[in-house]
Amino acid sequence: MVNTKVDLCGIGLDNPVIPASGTFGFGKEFAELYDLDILGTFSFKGTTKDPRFGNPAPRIAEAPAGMLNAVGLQNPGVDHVIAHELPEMAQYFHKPVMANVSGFSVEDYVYTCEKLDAQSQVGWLEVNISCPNVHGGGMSFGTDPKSAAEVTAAVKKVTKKPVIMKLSPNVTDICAIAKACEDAGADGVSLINTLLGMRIDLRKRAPLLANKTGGMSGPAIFPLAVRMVYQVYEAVSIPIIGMGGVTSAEDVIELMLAGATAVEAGAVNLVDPMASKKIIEALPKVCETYKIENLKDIIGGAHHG
Amino acid sequence: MKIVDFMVDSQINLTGDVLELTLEGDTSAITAPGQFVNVKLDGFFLRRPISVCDWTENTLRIIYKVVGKGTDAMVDLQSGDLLELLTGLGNGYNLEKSGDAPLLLGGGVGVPPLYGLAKRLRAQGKDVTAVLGFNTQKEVFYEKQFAALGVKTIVTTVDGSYGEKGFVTTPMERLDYSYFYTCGPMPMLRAVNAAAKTAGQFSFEERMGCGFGACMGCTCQTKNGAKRICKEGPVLEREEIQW
Repeated sequence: MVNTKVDLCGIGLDNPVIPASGTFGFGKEFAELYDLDILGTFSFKGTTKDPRFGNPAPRIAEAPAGMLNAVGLQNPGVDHVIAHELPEMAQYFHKPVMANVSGFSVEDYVYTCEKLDAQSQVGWLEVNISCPNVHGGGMSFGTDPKSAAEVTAAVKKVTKKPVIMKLSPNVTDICAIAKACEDAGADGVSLINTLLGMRIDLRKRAPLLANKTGGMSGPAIFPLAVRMVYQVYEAVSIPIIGMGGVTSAEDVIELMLAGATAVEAGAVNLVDPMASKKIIEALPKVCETYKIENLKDIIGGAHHG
Repeated sequence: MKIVDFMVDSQINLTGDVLELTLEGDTSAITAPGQFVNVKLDGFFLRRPISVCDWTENTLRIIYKVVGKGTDAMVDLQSGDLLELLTGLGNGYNLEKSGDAPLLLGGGVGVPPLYGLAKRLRAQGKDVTAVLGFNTQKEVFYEKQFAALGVKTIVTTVDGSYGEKGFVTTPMERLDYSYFYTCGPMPMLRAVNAAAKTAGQFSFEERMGCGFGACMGCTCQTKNGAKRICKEGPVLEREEIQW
């Protein structure tokens, strides 16, 4: 009997699998297909202080072994999320949920986190300082250690819930950002967000996405995620949520060996709505194959001296 | 929405680059004409959304145009091949508003979803007129199929090589109708809106990530707020559309 339980910043997860923000909405579309309570948890759609429409279309492009998106944080705003999405979610999800928060100023992040801190359904705050698709916010906080630390410290002051900083891979040294977040009081880090990319329409001779650039996700980025989780594990001592191109139970184990305590699955949910369920169901068997009895024992297991 | 494995029954070439696929499988998630399916293809990450042309309890017909590598790969599908589809996606056309004499306007690969609609409107005894618009004679398809339903069928071609010369709006200007339904490229939809004398429904196309409402990749702005083309669409009512 394999034990898949892990502890994420003081809250237990039945298994380490977490559908990633932006690929799972508020869960509703998936709850029509399967019981969401089988998940470790899920990270809901990136929420901001005010409602956002996001970027103009087209927002999506195909890529080799993946996709680009430039949605631009479309969401109904934190007040609507609290008034409508969370009560509705309580009907179909009965575990602590991960609230994903984004902003355009330190004050924005503080405002949204403070409101979500008061929600009993919310277990963790995943603070996105790495969205590549918005201007004047998002990723600009996650590419400079000082700004990353500033957001972390400000958010920590207004919440008792664990604060997990979601980091950008679009930096020279992700370890420096992770360390700055840890030093500023972060309870965990999650990585990687999407990588900045572009496709060009040959007929129009112009970028395919209206936003020109978009975030690359999907299996193509998995090795980058493994490398960065491995590096960050050596730089910090707080828990890491690993993500980036995860499509299988084997990928979950690989990221955990690199140093992840839990693992988010993202783009795969969009092309196979049953993907997270399939990964969770495959996990015990794959653990047996690799002689893993307690999944939590393998965290960072690929680091030897 | 359902995830269903379909088996290819047949594939036929309708014109140079427009093909008709007949599939066998569970269609129970499909509830209205104008809905679409999202097709998983080997070697491609994202699925390909394609509108439903017609369906029965266990058969599904879709018509697509080869526009890129994904649809090009579909040309090789043969009888007996398996295709994994997300079915019953989107809202589809609302038949209740049609009135007694609805007008259907389709342009190019916007024609197929109107076939399933025409069939169901005819089953309700409605007096249906369809205007099918193409660029040129060699692109024309489905004229006979519409006529066989008892639909008054008018074909237009831009170059006048077949049927009436002009756009779908050319005959539309002189026709009397109780309501209209349309699907086609964006410039055509704009022209239909400008020429329309009644309320109606428009089916839109957009690049999609998931096709079932999760990614927000295909959202458009309407007078009633943001709507996902894949979920609250692809069919929108004339009065809510922001052109």
